[in-house]
Amino acid sequence: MTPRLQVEDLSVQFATDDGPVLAVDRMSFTVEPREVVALVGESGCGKSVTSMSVLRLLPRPASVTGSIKLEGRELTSMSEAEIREIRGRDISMIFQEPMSSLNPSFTVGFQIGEVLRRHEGMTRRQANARAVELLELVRMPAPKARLREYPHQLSGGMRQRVMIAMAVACSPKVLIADEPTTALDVTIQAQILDILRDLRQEVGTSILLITHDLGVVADIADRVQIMYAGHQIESGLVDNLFAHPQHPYTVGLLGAVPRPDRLSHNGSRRLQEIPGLVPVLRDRPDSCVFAPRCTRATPECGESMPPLEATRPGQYAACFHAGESLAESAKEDLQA
Amino acid sequence: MKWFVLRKVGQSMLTLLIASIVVFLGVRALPGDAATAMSSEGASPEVLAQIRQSYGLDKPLPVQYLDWVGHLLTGDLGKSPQTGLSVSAVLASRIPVTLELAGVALLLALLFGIPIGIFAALKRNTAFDYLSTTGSMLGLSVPHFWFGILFILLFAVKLHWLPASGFVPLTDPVANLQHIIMPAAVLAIGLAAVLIPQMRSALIQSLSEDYIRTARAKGLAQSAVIGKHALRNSLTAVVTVVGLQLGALISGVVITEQIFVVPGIGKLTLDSVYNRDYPMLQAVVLITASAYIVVNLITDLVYSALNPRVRIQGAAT
Amino acid sequence: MTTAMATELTPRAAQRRRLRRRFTRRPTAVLGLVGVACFVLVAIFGPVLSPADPDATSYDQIFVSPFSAGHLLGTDDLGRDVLSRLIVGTRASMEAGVLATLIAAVIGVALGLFAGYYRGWLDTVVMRTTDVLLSFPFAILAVGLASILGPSLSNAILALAISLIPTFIRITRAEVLGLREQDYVQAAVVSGASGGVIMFGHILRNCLTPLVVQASVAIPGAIIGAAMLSFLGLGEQPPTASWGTMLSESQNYLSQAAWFAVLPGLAIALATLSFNMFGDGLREVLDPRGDQ
Repeated sequence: MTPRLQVEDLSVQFATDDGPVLAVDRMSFTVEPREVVALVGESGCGKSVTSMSVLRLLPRPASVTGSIKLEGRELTSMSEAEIREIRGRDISMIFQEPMSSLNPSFTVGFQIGEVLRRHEGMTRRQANARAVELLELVRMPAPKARLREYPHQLSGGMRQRVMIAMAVACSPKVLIADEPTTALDVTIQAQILDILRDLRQEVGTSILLITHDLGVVADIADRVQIMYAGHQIESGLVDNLFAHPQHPYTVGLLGAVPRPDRLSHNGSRRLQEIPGLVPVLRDRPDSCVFAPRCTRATPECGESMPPLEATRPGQYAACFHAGESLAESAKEDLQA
Repeated sequence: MKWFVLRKVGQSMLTLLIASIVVFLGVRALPGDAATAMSSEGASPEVLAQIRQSYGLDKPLPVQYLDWVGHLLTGDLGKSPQTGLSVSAVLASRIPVTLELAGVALLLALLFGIPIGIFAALKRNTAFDYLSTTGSMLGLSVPHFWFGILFILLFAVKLHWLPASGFVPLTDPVANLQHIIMPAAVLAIGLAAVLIPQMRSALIQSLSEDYIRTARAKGLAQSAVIGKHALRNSLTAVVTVVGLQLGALISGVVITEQIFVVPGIGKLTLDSVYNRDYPMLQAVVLITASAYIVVNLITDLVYSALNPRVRIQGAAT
Repeated sequence: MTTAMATELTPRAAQRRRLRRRFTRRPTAVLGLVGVACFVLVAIFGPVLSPADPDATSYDQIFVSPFSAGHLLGTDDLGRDVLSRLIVGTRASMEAGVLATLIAAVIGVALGLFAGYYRGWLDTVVMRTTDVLLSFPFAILAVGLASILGPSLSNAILALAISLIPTFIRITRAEVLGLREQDYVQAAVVSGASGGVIMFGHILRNCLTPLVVQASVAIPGAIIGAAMLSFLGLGEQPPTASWGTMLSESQNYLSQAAWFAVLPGLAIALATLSFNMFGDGLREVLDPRGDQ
């Protein structure tokens, strides 16, 4: 069966004033129908760039190579007109900043209706009626009255509901959610995640979730891709990966030993502090990108970037010393 | 919204009131009073006293001010001591000339400035963009009066295409246009030089906003993304600039009318200064200031109508 | 990038270097700086540089064309050397631009600081006054003030300075209102620092950027304003050479000597253009949000 969304060997390189920057290097992953796949990493790791290149919405010119397929149809070779048909209808997006992502000069009703008029050929009246239904779907209080309001009259949570209503207006096959809850209060976060979960059930949408919040991942995602410096360094089912992290970076993220004091107030685990900074890559690395911050680093790590390889059933890691702890990986090395 | 408008109108009225006092006192502070100005040199003190009395200049200042305002409110602006003409009649003949000049200038500036600014923003870092940026910089740096003289030199003295100066009423539309086009173009250059970079940067600014990404993610065509989502927000900024620039336009009118000998209120202002025609000067300056205050008020209100956020914030404070 | 690593820079020096690079990367900014420097030098050394006595008339050498022997830029209606008059006139223009801006900045910043810091009736009075001053278009205000004060260069400068004050007040006050809520200002207040120390020590240094930017706009504006007032006979008085009066005199001889009208205007335009280009570069360095 063809996956709903298939990304293969995706690389994205930007030209900047200080030379080229390789933001994403050979990413590959799939998203199946009704599946929630999370891209996780610190800011600057390339997760947003990956999601933006799916709809070709990168903020500045970049060289993008590799393949991105929606139900087998190649998106990267499409014309601008063709990709516009996909945007908002087959694949739609919600963004981190519900404050600035809505146009301050237009009413909520207009902005939701715009998608329907564009892709479903609805009249203004039909679009308004449907917009009310959509606002109900995202559990907006007093949906009818909202249509004539401007974004600045709504709270952050309500604006994100409007964004979601807009995004699911055409029952998209894939919803890309870029940090959808980061800017919101904890209680609102939970409500938004509930809405996303329901949408998957009711609309059958697949969700590509971009986040740095491991609590959100544990809450809603089926599979997870951990990214570091533009590289996929570990991937697998959320339950497996959280229980048995193999890559030292993931181990660090999750915290080697789960301790109650590391749980934040809503019970989710936030990224742990790992000393050092995410490097900015100019070109393909000739050593492991994580080696400078890695406690397991050996001379071997300085010689090449380790490939993504199966470490446990259904779980992959890009590390020469993969394993839940250093001792374990050393043991495995001895056995090998 | 109602309170916002009322508050703004109230503020403007207060400013206008104070401005009228300033104008009144300012004119009193001019060297030599109206009496010495309008009488022949060496007039006897008795004659001067008589003139002062007939113009009410012997009364205390507050009384003079109230007299003046009282007459203003009834539409009586007094008589020019030099010419004996009624000030309001002179104003009535001069104001339409300036309005036409300013109107044509504004029209020209918008007609060229807005599209050039939009195009420069969309074609950023191309030859067109650099050219328009350089052009605006030149338009901003080169003084009006020099442009005026250069225009006269080129189009009137060398090419003989247009009359060098003067004015013909609208009853002869062709001649009217021939006379008005040069001064209007000079004023328009100054306006467009401000408008183009503003339009450009406002559009670039809104094109980089998150809501533009949203609009593109919806699958909207580039024309809708720019024409609707980006332009709507950038025009808000530009309207304000246009409003604020009308003050600069009035400034430009003064000197442009002088160079092209256009009988509008700009030239009237300078003539009154030169002739020490104080009742006239007083009236002209007050009229200009009121026009300016009203324009600023309208700019404020239009801006808040276009930008719902300001209204809410304004009402809250 | 290896060179940047090799030369060790303190953060401050690195910051300064980055700013300088941002400035020098714009050719117009550098060109503007060079232009400004030239005009300032000519203003200072004008009398030494001028090839002839700028006021010496010579009735048998009226309207000599440019590039003639002895008169590189020709002579005017009284046979005076145009180049010498332009050079000497530079000082009046630069003086007007810089002095008017300086006076306006000092008064405007002081009033803005006090109004914004102490609020209350002082604030009300200052802001009402600026409202009223701003309710007159620049030219009307400058012409009005210049005619009240009487026609002379120093009075024209004063008139321009007064016209420029309101903007400085507004900018300073707006900055102060934002800054006085900042933690470090509040900390200074709590620790018992006097109003003067807080205003001039803590607040002023942090609102310099918009003020410098405003000054870079005000100087070319004042240069044009001074030329305008002289042109209208309300500034520098003939026979003293100034660009504005030269332009005004030229108006009567447009058909006989076009270059006589072109040259002083060109001087004004080049001077304001230099200041504007320099100011643009400065803005880019200090406040790079605008573009990019």
